[in-house]
Amino acid sequence: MTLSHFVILSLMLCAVGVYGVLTRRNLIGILLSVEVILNGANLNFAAFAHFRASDPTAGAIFPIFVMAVSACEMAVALAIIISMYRRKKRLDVYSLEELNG
Amino acid sequence: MGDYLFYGLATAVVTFSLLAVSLPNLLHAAISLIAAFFVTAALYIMLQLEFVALAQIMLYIGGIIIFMLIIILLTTGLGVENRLQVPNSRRLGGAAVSAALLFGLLYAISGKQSAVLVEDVHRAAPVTMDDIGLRLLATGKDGFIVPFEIISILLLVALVGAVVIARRDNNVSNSHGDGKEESA
Amino acid sequence: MAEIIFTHSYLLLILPFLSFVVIAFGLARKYPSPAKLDKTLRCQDQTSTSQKTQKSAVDFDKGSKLPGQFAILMAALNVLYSLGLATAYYQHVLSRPELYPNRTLICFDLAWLNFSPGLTANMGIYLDPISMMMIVVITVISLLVNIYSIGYMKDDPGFGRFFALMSMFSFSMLGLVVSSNILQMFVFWELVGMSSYALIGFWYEKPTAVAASKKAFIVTRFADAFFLIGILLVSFLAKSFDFQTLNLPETAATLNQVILIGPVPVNLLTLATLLIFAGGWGKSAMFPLHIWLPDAMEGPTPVSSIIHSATMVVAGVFLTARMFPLFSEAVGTLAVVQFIGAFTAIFAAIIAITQRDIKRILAFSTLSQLGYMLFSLGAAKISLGGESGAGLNSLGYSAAMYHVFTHAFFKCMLFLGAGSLIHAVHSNDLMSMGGLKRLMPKTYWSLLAACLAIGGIFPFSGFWSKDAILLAALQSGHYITFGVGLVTGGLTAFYMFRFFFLAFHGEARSELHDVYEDPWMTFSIVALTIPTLGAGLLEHFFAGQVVASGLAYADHLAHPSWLPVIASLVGISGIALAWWLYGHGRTDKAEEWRQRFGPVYLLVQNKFYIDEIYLFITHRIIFQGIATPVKWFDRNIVDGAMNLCGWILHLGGKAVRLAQNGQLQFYLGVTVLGLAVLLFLGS
Repeated sequence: MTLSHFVILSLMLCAVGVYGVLTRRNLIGILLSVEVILNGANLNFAAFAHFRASDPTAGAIFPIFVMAVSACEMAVALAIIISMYRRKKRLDVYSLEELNG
Repeated sequence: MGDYLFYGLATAVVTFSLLAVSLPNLLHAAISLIAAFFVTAALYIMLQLEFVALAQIMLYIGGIIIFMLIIILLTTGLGVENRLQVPNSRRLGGAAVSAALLFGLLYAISGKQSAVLVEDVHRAAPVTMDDIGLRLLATGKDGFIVPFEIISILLLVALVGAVVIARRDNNVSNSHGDGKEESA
Repeated sequence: MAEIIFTHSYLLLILPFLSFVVIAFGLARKYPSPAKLDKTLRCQDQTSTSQKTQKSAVDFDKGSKLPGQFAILMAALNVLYSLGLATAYYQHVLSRPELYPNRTLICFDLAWLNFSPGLTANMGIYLDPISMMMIVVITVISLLVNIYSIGYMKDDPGFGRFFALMSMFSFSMLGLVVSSNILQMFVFWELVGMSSYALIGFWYEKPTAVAASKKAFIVTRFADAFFLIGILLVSFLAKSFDFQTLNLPETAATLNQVILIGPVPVNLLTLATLLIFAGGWGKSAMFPLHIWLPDAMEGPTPVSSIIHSATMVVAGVFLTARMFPLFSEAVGTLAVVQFIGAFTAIFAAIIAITQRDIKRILAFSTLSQLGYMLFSLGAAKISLGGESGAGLNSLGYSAAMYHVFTHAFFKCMLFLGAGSLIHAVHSNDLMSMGGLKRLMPKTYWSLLAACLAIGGIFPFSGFWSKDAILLAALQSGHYITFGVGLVTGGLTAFYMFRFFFLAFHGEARSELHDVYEDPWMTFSIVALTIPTLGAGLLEHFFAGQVVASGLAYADHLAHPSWLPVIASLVGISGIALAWWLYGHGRTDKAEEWRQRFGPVYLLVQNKFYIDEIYLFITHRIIFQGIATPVKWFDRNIVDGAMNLCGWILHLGGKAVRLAQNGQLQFYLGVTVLGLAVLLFLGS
């Protein structure tokens, strides 16, 4: 249980989340994967707070801020998803190609 | 002993996250994400950051993921979306990119010049709730009062914004609804 | 008083330029001639005369003649100023040889372009005997031709434009003769060429006129390219553009070296002077660059009379005279000038015998007379006797300029008279004229004077000048050229009187109606008889004063007294032959002689097919052989390279566009991949 273990764990979670963002076809699925990434990032903060003793309190506060921001982000994102669902009646990201060139 | 606990919790969180990103049924995916959050809270407790664990459970599980479940149920017809297929090339590409990212990050932080993973000799003291509270409201160089206030404004803005975006326009109602979506 | 006139001598140029600007941008627009609306009133084509239903003596309202009247006013002012200038010059410069040994006066000389610390091009006015003479000639003839043009161009829709262009021409020609340095002369040289182009192609709806103007401009421009090279060569080595510097013996000494161009040794002085002469070769239409001058007769007759007989085409002679000291130092240049001049003289005279278009006859006559002038300049170099410089005959130079002077007046009158004839019968063809003596008496007597002058009959002006030329050739020992000149004199008299008898005597050969003499036109023609008769009085003046100074002239040259007799006899015999063949306007004898000469006659009448040879060379050899491959190269390879660049970019754009497919996950994937790459590269 060293810092390296935790860091590797958080990086793996981030990688899993990235895989999900790139793979999921449904918009909400993409949001779930983004949550996974944020989860991994929080874990990283906490690990560094514990193993490097210079300022553990800051290392505890940051994940809280991240969670708060994540909550805001989810609120807005889900509002957008609801209005998009009303327009298009489906949430397939493959069909959202209107900004192509 | 601590090591085995850590390995078990780590395996659990990774497994639940993998399930969250790959299950075709969104409800199942959301539930496994809840499980992943629980295990993450356990990991926080292992790191002696109890308040963060508490916040994780209350905010993430009690707020964010519940909200997601509501929206899933509202928009996708009970979350069953088995009709949409993802081509294998896309999965392979995604896996390759995320693997590249993983190895890139590992390479970056574990190189010989990197001093990131140097630990301190003494472990830090457990962080109490008093400390967190005081730091949050402290002014001065180490204080987090400003981000705290800004976060509260951000929450207000997000609240209002979400309401505005999701509002149903009275003029452009769903009267010309079904004709458009078939062409997509 | 003389100082003021000299200081303000730029007025000589400003007046015609002002006239051009005011007419072109003001009067011609505000007062268009009524004929602009009715294009059928043009009778210059040789088509049916039935279209001319009304008398062209209709006097339209005063306003629309304003461009012409304004041009006449400015030309008259110009004449007054030039006469004042001539008087001042005579009193101030010529009468004081101790102050002005070179007889040159520079009125002003301002620095214009500074090429390098050692080389500056100036703008200045340079008066010496030849430029003074040319100023008087140009201004007087310009005034008379402008008066004539009011009558001639009355029914033309381009009335105002004509006078603007004529003023432009006056300005350019005056600028050419008063230039103080060779670069300024080149500028005005090209301006004169441009005015000539505009005036030859005046009736731009006629394709033959357009072709003729292009031909004139291209041929002279071709020659001017060599002229420019000559200018650059001379000015680079002499470090100056000024005529005074270029004509110094030091300049000739600097240039007189032999360099190697490739394997060929070439004397730089000869090369430079030949290149400079090339400008005159083209502009004065010497063989083989003479092809543009007969075609230039497509322009209106006043244009032919001022440009292509009196002033522009003598620019080459003028240039040679200006650069005479430098030319005389060179080995062989004056010999080339002499040979080309003599050859052109007799060549053109032979062709002129057979022509049917009266303007063509006069054009070839001009060519022939120009040949006279140039061979006189060339003959100034004595062929017996020693090295260059010691053997110069001043009579050659002054005789050439004297002939320029007299030729300008009588040739101008001949062209103006031809214009009257064309106006009367609406055709250029000699065979449709005849019997006009009774109908156009004033024109008849004036043209008789002109023909006698050009034939070299005593006491008309042409006799004195031709005599001087032949004397110069004889004195310098160029017997062959003398013989050619004598024979050409006879031929000249013959063809001019052929024209005269066929046009005026005998019975009319075609339908004539409304033959009258327009007062404006006749005034100018009659006015020109004065110099035709009286210029003979100036012979001693020319021989004495109009010389290039600073050169070593041989004196005590022989002056055989049998020469004028022989020359007159040759002229009279030419007239007699013309009378025998064409007297009383009959053509049957001439027809029978023509039958006898058959193919030779045809060859000569088609101007020795030189035009066809040119067409062959340009179309087959230059266009197909050189221009077409170059064009292919330019279109396909040069343009192709540019198109290739564009095509590559287009292709690249298409490729890059594939990356903008609007897929959110694709964009995110690329971003993350970029991050991974940066991580690998950065650490």
